[in-house]
Amino acid sequence: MKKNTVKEVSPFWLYVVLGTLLLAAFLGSVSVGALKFSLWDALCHPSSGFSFILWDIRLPRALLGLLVGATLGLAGAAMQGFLRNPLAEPGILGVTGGAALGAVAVFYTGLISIFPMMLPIGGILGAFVSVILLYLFAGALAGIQTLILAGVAINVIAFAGTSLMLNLVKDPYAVLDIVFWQMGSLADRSFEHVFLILPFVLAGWCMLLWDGRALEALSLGEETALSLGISLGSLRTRIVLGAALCVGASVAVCGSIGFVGLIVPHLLRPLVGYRPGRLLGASALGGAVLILCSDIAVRMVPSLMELKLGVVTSLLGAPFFLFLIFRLRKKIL
Amino acid sequence: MPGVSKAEPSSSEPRDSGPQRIVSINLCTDELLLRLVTPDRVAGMTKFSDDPEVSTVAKLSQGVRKIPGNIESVLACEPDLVLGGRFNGKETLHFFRYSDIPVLIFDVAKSFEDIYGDIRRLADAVGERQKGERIIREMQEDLAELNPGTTHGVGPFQHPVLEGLNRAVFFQSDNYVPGEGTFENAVMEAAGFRNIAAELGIRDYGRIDLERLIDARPDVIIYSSEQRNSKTVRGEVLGHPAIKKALPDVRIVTIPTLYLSCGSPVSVEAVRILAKAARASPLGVGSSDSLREDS
Amino acid sequence: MKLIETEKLDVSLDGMTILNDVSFWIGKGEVVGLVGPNGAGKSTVLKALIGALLPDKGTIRIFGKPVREVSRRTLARKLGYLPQENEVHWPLTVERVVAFGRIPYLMPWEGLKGADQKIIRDAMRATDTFHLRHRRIDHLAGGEKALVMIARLLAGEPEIILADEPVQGLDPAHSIQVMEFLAGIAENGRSVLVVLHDLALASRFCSRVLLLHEGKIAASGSPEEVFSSENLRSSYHIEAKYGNGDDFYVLPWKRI
Repeated sequence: MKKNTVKEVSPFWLYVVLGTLLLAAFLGSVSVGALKFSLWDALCHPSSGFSFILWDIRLPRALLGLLVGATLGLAGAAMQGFLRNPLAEPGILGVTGGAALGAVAVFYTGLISIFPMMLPIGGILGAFVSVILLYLFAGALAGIQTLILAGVAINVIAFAGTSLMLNLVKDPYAVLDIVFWQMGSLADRSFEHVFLILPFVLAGWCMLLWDGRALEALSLGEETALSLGISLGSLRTRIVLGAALCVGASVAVCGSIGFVGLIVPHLLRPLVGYRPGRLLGASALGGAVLILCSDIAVRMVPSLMELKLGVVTSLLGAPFFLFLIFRLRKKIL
Repeated sequence: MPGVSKAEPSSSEPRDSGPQRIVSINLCTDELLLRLVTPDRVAGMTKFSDDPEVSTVAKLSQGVRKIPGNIESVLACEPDLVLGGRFNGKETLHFFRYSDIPVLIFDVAKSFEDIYGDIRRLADAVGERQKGERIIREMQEDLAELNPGTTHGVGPFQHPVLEGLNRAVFFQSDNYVPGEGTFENAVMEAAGFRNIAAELGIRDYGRIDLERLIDARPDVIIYSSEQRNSKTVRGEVLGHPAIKKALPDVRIVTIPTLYLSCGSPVSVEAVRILAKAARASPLGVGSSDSLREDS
Repeated sequence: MKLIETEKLDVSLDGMTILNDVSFWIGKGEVVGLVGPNGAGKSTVLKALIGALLPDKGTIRIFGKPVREVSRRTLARKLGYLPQENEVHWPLTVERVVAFGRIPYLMPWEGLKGADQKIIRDAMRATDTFHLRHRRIDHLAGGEKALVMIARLLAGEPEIILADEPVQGLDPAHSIQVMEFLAGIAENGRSVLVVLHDLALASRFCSRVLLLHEGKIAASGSPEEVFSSENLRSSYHIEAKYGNGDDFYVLPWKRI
């Protein structure tokens, strides 16, 4: 029995709750690791091994988790708002795959030695090309099937390209590297990685968050949005560029992590009254919480092979995706 | 169709001359072979033997015919002995096991004793027993010189442990560390070090979390040069800034990968590099020294 | 005063000419009906006016200024557009949908102010939809939804309303209600250009009618003038009955 009325949660409380969850997840993330020690100990003894582990291993890892999680949540919400489709998200639509290809290309062709920032730039270019291709294949008003098929095609191309890169690598075990990229990980990252992607991620966030109102207007269709004063062309440019910047840079450093942009906006949408604009900020927070919690789970599950972050999000996301398709099936057909 | 035949060289082979058309389809057997026989007795070997970055016999292998190692290419050499490793070329070796042509398969060496055994076995097969024994003796003398007090008895060789800063760990891509029962472990012990991975109970290759690595406070961290210098995602952890920050006094030693990838007489060089690190001043030893040993 | 004026407008889409040499104007306080057979190009006229389609030739003037010189924001405030497909992509509340009408008055970072909230409420009251404000838009019946869309239009305080078949699919009561609203808006000094299929409604509510046929204006004038039997025969191929007495109306009767 569907609800006939919609009660929006007050935005203030929504952000308070999400913010608190984020803080808790962040603290949790820096407290979990192979070594067990209390944060207080590490903070009080600045030159102990624990302190270095906290500041130089765990803190960058948690920060990256925050940046990547917020990026994926935000980009998912933005793409869904723009494409007016609840199944749109960077992973499914091939943006993440394209970013991985771009990053891998820079990494293995040695371009990264010229200039470390080439790595996120490669990821951004890859993501950018993916979004352009998506738009060309599917068009602005594409139905769900067309969009997802286009995403599948782009993902396949990206994966094939990534595998071809193996030819450039002398290391005979490079296949493992590609597998790592595909599965995504935050392990053993350092502040170098954080600073490498920070400007791009922040720029992308700005572009996407700016579009809240335009996405709301788009709920009424393109022509009405136009008549309300929205410039569709610049909206499209900002969404494309913004998503490419933050997703591209994040994937470049952490590999492919999918489904966050699908799960988080979907769960939060009813809480923001289905408003695509308000969903942006909430999804950013929610995405960060989800990734940080998944990263905690990765470290707490004892296993021989290190459990990859992308695997955890896929284990959550793929069934969720199927469930969504099932639910929306009636509306699609 | 060739009949079934034993895989050992038959006793009817002349002891002095031995096989004259030997084919090797594995880089490690390439290396052992060229140290025991002259190149004119080699009818085919792998193309890797020419590459000075991975082969320690690159100079010796010039002029020898290079083959891809599949059945046809080996047959084309008309071999009278085929050498291979346990983990590659399986189909080829399987084919030749059922032929009249003798086949010798060598396992990955896990210790210096294994190397001595491999040398003896190959020397016997190619009729160069004396040369083989000489090579083994030289190796033993070198090792004894590098770590005084090393003795080679009938059983495994004894080597003293260094005093003082003697805890080492060999940190490899994707957080792997060689523990007890690996060749890297044998090299570390021959140089007089305690292998932290072995202390943690790791057998063969295990993984160590970066946090645990730091917590173990090694005196020396060893890297393999190819992993350290090439760009791979799994190799990124090797250069993590936390290592230098949390362990400012640790000595870093980089061993050229080609000294370790095959167990051969040249592997003594790996021990030499480590032994040098043990005796040098804390900040003095680094990859630059190790790479100059490369030739 | 000509609020909207087009001159010799040519619009094509995908290589096909849809509008050819279309010139007309809308004055203050008018309810102008835009009628014509299917495919005549009626929706295209509206789309060209809001800038969704660029004309190949000709000019459009809003309040005397060429539309290119009018800022996007000003245009959004002056024109209110109601498309034919009244889609709302997300299950938003009625109040939220009506609030969208205020978008041309807000900067991207601004929220709705008290004055905005009042305008929204007034718009809903005027269209009799205030009691629906917390309901989901996708749960409303067609008639209620049409009124909500009108409320959204009103919330934007436009001076000119461009409505593309606003009564499509509505029952007679709701059709008349919608047309009455539009007429009321015009009485308050605004102007309405409404695309209609229902000739009876057009004859009842429009002060002026434009007949579009094959991309050209075939007739322009009062309903009596435009709905002449010759015009109906040549453009619609129909015959109609007419009302006699004080109220003029036309009732399509049979095909010819």
